[in-house]
This record gives sequence, C-alpha cells and structure tokens, in this order.
Amino acid sequence: MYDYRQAKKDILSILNSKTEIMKCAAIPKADSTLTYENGIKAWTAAIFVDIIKSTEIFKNEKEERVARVMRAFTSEIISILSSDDKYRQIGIRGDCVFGIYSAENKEDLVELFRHAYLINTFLLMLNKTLEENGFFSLSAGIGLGCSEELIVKAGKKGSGINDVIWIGDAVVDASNLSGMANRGGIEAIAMTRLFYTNIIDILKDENKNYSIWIKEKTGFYGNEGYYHCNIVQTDFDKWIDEGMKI
Amino acid sequence: MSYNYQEGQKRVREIMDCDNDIIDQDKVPKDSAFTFENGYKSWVTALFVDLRDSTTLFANDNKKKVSKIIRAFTSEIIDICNDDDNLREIGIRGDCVYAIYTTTTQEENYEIINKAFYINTFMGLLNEEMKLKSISSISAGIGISTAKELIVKAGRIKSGVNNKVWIGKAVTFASKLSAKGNKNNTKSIVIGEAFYNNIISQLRKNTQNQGVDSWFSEHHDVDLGKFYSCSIVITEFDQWVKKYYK
Repeated sequence: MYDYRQAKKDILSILNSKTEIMKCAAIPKADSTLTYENGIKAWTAAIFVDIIKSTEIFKNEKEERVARVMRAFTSEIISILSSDDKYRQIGIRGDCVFGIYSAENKEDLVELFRHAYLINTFLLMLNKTLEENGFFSLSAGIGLGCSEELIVKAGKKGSGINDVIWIGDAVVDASNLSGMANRGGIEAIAMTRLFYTNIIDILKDENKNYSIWIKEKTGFYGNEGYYHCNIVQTDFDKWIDEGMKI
Repeated sequence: MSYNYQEGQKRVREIMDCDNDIIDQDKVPKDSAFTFENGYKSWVTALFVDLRDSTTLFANDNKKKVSKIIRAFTSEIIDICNDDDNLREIGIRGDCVYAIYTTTTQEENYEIINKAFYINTFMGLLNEEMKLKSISSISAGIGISTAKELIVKAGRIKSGVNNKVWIGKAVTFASKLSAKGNKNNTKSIVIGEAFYNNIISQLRKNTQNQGVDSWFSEHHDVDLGKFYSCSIVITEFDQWVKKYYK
C-alpha cells in the first residue's frame, strides 16, 4: 500500500530540487528538452473535440458498430490534428480527442483554427458516409483556447510514465468550450476572446466576411465573452455536397 | 496543413467495412491483445484527478516553486494509482492525472475508492508543504465511475498515437465528475451512482457503522444522473500529517 512517509520524503526531494524555468517562444519538440529538473513557460494553444450525447448514442447502438464509428472518428481527427508539426500532445481523454500546440505567433493560432473548421467539415463527410451505410450519426463540439502555459514534465523518474502536464487556461478553456459548442444555440466551433482577437485580423485580410461568420456571445464562466461559428472548408464541403466522388 | 480528405474518406470506409470482433470478458487484457480489428467489453473503473484553479497556480510569479508543486502532485498521485495489478492505463491528459482499472469484483472497486481517500489525504500533506514555501493552497477534484465499457484501439496504424478509446460511462463520467469536485457544494471525491453501490456496503463494514452514509452528499446532474460526493481521508495518514505540521 501507499507509503506516505516515503511520499513525504519524495515530495521534499522534489521541492528542494533545482528547477530551471525556461521561457521559450516555441515549445521544444523533443521531449528530452524537458527534464525532471526544469519547466517551460510558453504560449500554447489547445483544441478539444467533444462528442455530443455519446453515452446515449452508444447505449442504443450495437457495440460492433459503435466500435467502427469511434475508430473512424478518432483516427481521422487524430490525422487532422497531427498534420501540423506544431503539435506537442495529441490524445483521447474520455470521449474527447484533443491536441495541444506550440503557438509562438498568430499564424499558429490561425492554423489551429483551420484544423477546427476542417474537423467541422470532416464531420459532415463522416455523417454522410455513416448515413449512406446505414449507421447512426454523430455530432461534436469543438473548443479552442490559448494562453501562456507552464509545462512541466510530470510523472516519476524511472516509472516509465513521463507525460507532460500543462498548467494554464488554454487546455481548461478549450475543454470547457468543447462541452458547450454545438448545443443550445451555440455553433460547432467555440473559441475564447483571446483566441479570436489573435486570429481575426489575419482572417479578415483573407476574407472580410470572417468578422460576420464568427459571432460573439456571452456566458462563458458566467458572463465572459467568447466567439462561435460554423465555418467549413469550402472545397471539401462542396465535394461532400456533390456526392463525394473519389 | 496536408489533410487529404479523399484519402480520409477511403480510410473511413475501410474502417466501416472491416470486421470488428467484440470480445466480452471479465478482465480488460494487457495492451498487446488489442488490434485495430478487435474490441473488448469489460467492467472498468476510471479515476480522474483534476486540479482546481490551475489559473491561480499559473498566475503565481514563482514558476519554479509552482513547477515543483506540480511535479510533486503528479508523481505522488501516479504512485498511489500505480499500486494495483488491475491498472490498465495511467497518465496525464492536459491537466488531469487519470488511471483506468479493470474491475471484476466489489473488492476491486473498494481498492479504488481507497486510493481516492489516499489522494484526498495526500492533498492535505501537499498543502502543508506549500504553506511552508508560502504558496497559496491548491485543491483537486477526484472523480470515479464504473461501467461496462467497450474498448477499442483507435488512433492510426502508422501515426504512433495508438490510444485506446474507452466507450461508456466509466472514463467519460469520471472525467466529468472530477471537474465537479471541490466546487460549489460538491466535496472533493465525486463518484457515480453505480460505483457508490459497489463500494458502500464494504465501506460500512470497514468503518463498523460509524454513520458512513452521512459522510456522503447526494447530487444530481442532467447528463450524469445521480452521483455522490464525500471528503473521506485515511485516518492514520491524516493524523500523522496534522501532528507533523502542528
């Protein structure tokens, strides 16, 4: 059983160990940069994709079919999220697929926003394919957040568990927004105000309609403002509409 | 950005068309048994520990101190959770530490609530240490849920992200329950109804009817249904902490 006296010693040894905090523009790629003796402070962006009413859907469907749909859903979203060399952690948490990215400049956030609308479009394709094959459909909320985060290699020396933990708003906000998006009048992609203010000028240079497509709403954490939209990737969407010919 | 949606659709179809074996068994097997073509159905119990107010923690100017606290927090929780042959997955997802166990009996579930009691007591120790280092205290929500889950290997064959997807009310609910712990009127350990029913008689027995039922508060949530919260500690450990830091 857990030896709390030993635990106390372990804690003290951690608390008394030298820890170097490096402030980085980009989060280093190689895990080796992060050691048990340092931490990193860097701008981070996060995306969460949360399946709506998953337990209810899964309860009513045959397991074999649920397994197939979930495998298609997660593997493609992971594929989209990993097609970007700025990603630092991608994984599945409960029924959410999430990605955490190094975001040293605004373009990195714009790129993540593009992943969000690509996923939004992918879900249309998935649902159409599911429908054509007699499967049930899925919908999801997509949340985006960014912040300067403290990144610490956690886990334990020699334990084989050496994941990184992210402390700050980006991950928390993205997770919370993904649980709100695509429900109760909120569109499929929801982002924090900070995320929005960092991407909107670049997007407007590309197409001024972005400031109409992305709308403001209040009610995040009580009364904070956030932004939401239902943007899709045009060519992909058109291809779906035209019957998805390969 | 290089997502090829036509290729994407092909992969979706491949997955849809491939035969998935669903194997119903008592225990979740070790990793190597999972392929991209099968799935398992088993009773599992998930435990999530979610840090409260990571924003406040991040706002602390002394990032070195905070990094150490976080490292102590995660490594000890991993230690507590690791100590179990039924463990099937453990790690960190963003800012949550979590563990998933295969559970076939009520005794095995009792072991898991016992871990929650240890974690809850450990938080007291950690906060005492933080007080000594003049860092404001932190709290965490501990969520536990049990259910018969469908487990499939998702991710992509070549992507290196081979996470398992746990479909059902164990992992998803544990993650959501942990977010409720130590907030509003909910106490730190938050457990789903099925898990409560699995552990309560053993707990009554172990505490020789000292009114265990009154230690739990009952709550209700639209999505999660009925759940319970408590703030039970391991007496001996807790007394040791209190004495030590007096």
